[in-house]
Amino acid sequence: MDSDEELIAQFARGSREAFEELFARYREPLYGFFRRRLDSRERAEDLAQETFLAVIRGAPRWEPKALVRTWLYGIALKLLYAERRKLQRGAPSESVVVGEAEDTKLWIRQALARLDATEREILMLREYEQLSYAEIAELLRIPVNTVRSRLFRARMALRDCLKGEV
Amino acid sequence: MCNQEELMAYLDGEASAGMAEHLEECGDCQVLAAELRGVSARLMEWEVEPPGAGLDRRVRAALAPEKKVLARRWWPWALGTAGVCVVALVAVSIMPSQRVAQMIVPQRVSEGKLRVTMPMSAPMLARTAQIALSTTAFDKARAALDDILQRHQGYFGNVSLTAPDNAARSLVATLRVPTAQLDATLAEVRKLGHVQSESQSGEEVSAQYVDLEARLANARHTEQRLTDLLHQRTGDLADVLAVEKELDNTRGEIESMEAEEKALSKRVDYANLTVTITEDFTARPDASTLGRFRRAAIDGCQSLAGSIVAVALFLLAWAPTTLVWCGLLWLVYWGMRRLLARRRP
Repeated sequence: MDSDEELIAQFARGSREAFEELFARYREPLYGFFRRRLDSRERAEDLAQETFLAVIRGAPRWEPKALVRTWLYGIALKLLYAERRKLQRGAPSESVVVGEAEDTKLWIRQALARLDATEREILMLREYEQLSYAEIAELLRIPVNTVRSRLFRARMALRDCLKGEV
Repeated sequence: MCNQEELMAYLDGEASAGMAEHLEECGDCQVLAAELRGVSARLMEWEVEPPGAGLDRRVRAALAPEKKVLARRWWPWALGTAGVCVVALVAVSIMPSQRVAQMIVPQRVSEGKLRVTMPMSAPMLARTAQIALSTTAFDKARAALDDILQRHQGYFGNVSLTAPDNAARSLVATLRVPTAQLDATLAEVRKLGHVQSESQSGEEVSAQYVDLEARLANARHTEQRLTDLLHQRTGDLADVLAVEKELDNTRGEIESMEAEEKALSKRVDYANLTVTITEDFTARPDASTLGRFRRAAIDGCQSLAGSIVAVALFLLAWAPTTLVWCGLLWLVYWGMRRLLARRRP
């Protein structure tokens, strides 16, 4: 099986199949990345789509300095931050989106909401996106040791929440 | 004291296997490991529904074969075009115009052939060209320009004619011709006189077009969603008004993007050709003796008028300052004379 890096290089040379394979690998993970962080399912789909469009546009310029997975989540994080800024400005398009809390695990969302923003992001990138400490450090531009200590703190906070719930 | 962070890193596969032995022996660490695994297991209970088919459709639409090739092959074409332009400019600057014209023509013809045989997936280029000519038959050239434009289904964007008395006339015209007709049009325009300079350039707009199409598709999708939301409204009045406001905004964005797309398509479909025709004044046939006397008389009068104007301008520019300084110098002179007169016995 070709690595992500081989696939992106093949796509840059014109192989549509390589992109299809890459899309199949990251379609659900990227959608899940946005879905767990946003209330709107449609926006999650839109942003996952924008991430892939950015890949299509950027593939010819991609250089193997980092893993494709880190690059993809880097794009996704930038889009997510932009979306959050838009939401903070109170864009009307989001004001009508009603929550879907009843469909999700309310406890997890509430417990995650109590965490510090960076700790929550580190924890989610580790648990849901299964990124390594080094990848998270690169994405968030913080030292690996900081990733480790803040991840530990976040997990301990969740453990305490879990104990409280029991 | 156990290193709890190290234990967590070990469970994450980020620490050395030496922790395994410690874990087997240490009860506290076993409890912590169980808790950490419990936290991870609990978090993994949050599953999300799979994405809709719309995601696949829209991404694949953006990956249409021709667009994909455009996105990755714009730079060799742009480099080629830039290279041709640089060579042409260097040639124009170091060679006599006649020779340059002779050299450029075959090059353009071969370029034209290339364009014809290019596949449908060629880059979307907004092409522009400039050509400057000089001719003794200015009127004929001007009339011929109209014919050329008509033959190639083009139109005038802008025309500016300068016709001073007894001086060379010039015409600057911006022509809009179908991109496919640009090379043929240029070939005919070159025949209208001596080519003084010529250049061509092409701006790659494929990526811009793909991006615009994707944004347009998104906006239309949002519009549809908002319309559906309005039809199935169950919220209060404030929500409905908010949706209507957003729908208006989205429609405004769609209209603006459609106009942008149309303008972009027009730039690709029609090339801009700027033609400058200058009358070859010195070569104008007027070599009779009477004509030469007439021109000499006119030149003499013009020269006289020019020199009078120049003197008047000089006086106007310098007279006030000169007068002030002359007055001051005269006062000093007058004062000195009086002083000397008093001291004389």
